[in-house]
Amino acid sequence: MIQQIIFYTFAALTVISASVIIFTHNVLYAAFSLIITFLGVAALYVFAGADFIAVTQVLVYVGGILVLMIFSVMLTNKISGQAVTTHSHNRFLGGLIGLVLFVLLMFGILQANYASLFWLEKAQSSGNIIQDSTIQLLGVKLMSDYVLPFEVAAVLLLVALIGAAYIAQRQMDEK
Amino acid sequence: MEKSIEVHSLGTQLSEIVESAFFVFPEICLLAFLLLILIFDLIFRQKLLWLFTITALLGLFLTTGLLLQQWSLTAESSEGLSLFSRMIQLDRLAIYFKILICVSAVFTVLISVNYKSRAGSFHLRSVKRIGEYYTVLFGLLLGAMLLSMSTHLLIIYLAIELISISSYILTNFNFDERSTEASIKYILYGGVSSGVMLYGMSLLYGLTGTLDMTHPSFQENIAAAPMILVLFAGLFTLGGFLFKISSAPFHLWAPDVYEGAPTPVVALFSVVPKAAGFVVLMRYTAHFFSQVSFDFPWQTLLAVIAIITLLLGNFAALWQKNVKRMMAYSSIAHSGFILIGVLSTSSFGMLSVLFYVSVYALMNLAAFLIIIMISRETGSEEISQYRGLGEQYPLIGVLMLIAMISLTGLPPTAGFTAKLFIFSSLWEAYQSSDNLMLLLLLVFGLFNTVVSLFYYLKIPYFMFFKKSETTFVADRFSHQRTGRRHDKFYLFDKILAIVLIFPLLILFFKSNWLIDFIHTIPFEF
Repeated sequence: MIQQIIFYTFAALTVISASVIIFTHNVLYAAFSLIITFLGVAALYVFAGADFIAVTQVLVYVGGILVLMIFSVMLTNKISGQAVTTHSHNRFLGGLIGLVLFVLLMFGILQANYASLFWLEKAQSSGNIIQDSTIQLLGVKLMSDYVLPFEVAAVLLLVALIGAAYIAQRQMDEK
Repeated sequence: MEKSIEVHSLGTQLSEIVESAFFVFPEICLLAFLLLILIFDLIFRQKLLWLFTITALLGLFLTTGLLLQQWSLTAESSEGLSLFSRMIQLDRLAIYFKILICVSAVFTVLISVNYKSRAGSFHLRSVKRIGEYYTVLFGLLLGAMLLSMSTHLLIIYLAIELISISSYILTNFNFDERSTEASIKYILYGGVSSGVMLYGMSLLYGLTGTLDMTHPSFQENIAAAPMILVLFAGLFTLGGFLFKISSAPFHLWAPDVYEGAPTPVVALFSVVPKAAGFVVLMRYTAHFFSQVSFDFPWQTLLAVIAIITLLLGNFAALWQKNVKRMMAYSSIAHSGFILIGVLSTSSFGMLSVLFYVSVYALMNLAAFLIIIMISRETGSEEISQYRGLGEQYPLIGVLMLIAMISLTGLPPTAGFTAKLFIFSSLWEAYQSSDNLMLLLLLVFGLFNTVVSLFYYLKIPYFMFFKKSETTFVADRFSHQRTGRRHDKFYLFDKILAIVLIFPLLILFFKSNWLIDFIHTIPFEF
């Protein structure tokens, strides 16, 4: 019972802060409410039994990316001297498409009835469900089954880093 | 007891991984050269610029050699090897596309040797940091080669991101306003389509419990899942692939990117990511759409996408004044034609896709090379600046004419043969399925070929039949070519253009040379 209350609190927090991001015009407010969204999602990961992902979510998104975002918004504030705002276009059409997608997805997911999916039932009956910490398993899998994606991600990051440095450097040269 | 079994299985798994590594030697070679260029960049920065080009070419030749060896080692009838615990699948289809990708990359490097952007900020003979250019280029190639082998949704996503991020960076290499704007637009569209694709993949994972498309449980669970969700998941995932092949409704980035990016990079964009995108689309249709249990008309769906792509590409191309923008819409239209081959699904359809993509690579690279040569001469990429060039430089005029005829799909060029194969595979598919949509697609395809005639032949028309304003070459751009008026085009570029155009004529008369080669690929996924 208490678990359910906590779950719904975090879910509500996530949804409300996410809608603040959509409806506010001030970019700084949006960035701040994004923190709450990410923290809420991290809590939901904990409920799903994905402890490692929850920690990563907090470390990478809240600790790294969001701080960077807020800094850049505040620095841009400083230059122009006024709040950075956004405007929305095509509100009606966008809202309509969003609503239709939501209804269809909701209908589909309810119809699918995830709890009784074929593969989940099979895993449950064979006792293949992880109960305790996933960290050790993740480490082993990353170096065995998923070693190729792991290496590809490394190359991807290398290329992105080189590109970002190159673009920034070129613009500094010009100035 | 349980622990020891675990350790044992982990041991065999690790030895399997080491074994798998022997089958990805071409990719390892490419990666090694990527790092080598990076190290060279640290040691010889701003010096020995030719060394980078030589190293890049050497790397590509070596990779192509390893791929050819792989080709000769794989048997004609084999089903393909699953490597790295079923992450990628090495079969002749993948090797064929990887060879195509490497060869196109060789030509891209050769094309970029003499390229100079309008503001002169991108010129491989003088640019300060040429190393980054080749590093990112190799990153893109690595992504494309992985994508053509991948059967696992995780690898598909990572490979697509590797291609995309490299593309965003390469788009910006001109460092003018145009190219930065194009790059930002590309990132935005790319981010959205990646997000949509990931959403679809996550739904697929939720439904099946596996990301491996070849896994039996993937197909079983897809068959058991409810229709709406499978549809959503399938279409969302499809969106990411359509973005890579720049097909409607994910084509919006193409015109701006093609106009803003450095031209050699555009030549690469129009061939390599597209080729890789089509392989993965072929695998996806084979593993996903054909497995769906309910009566989902996916062939009709792809036919509708192909029709929209054809119409949008061809009609928008009619109004373009900039050659590169026109080529962007033309490449969208060509995606529509290749999609026709994909949706035919017969082995003849697959054969026609491979033939078309190969010919398309040749003619696009040739066309972009000539565009680069002419834009160096006139300082402009507007079609109106092409007037009279055919009389002044007959060789270039004739080569451009052949390239454009081939892009239209008229004899005596390989473009005609490719379109013929595509349309006959569609006719075959129509006869076996009696789907009226396919007949409609055939009509639209033929109609669009006629439409494309108008804009492709506009360029040779301007080159040969419009008189040039004789003064413009001498006056407006004389400052750019001080004292070198006789040196119109580099001999190197001319030879390269002939090398690219010649196969287009050969493959019309001797199309069976390439066909026999493709025929040795078993089309089973």
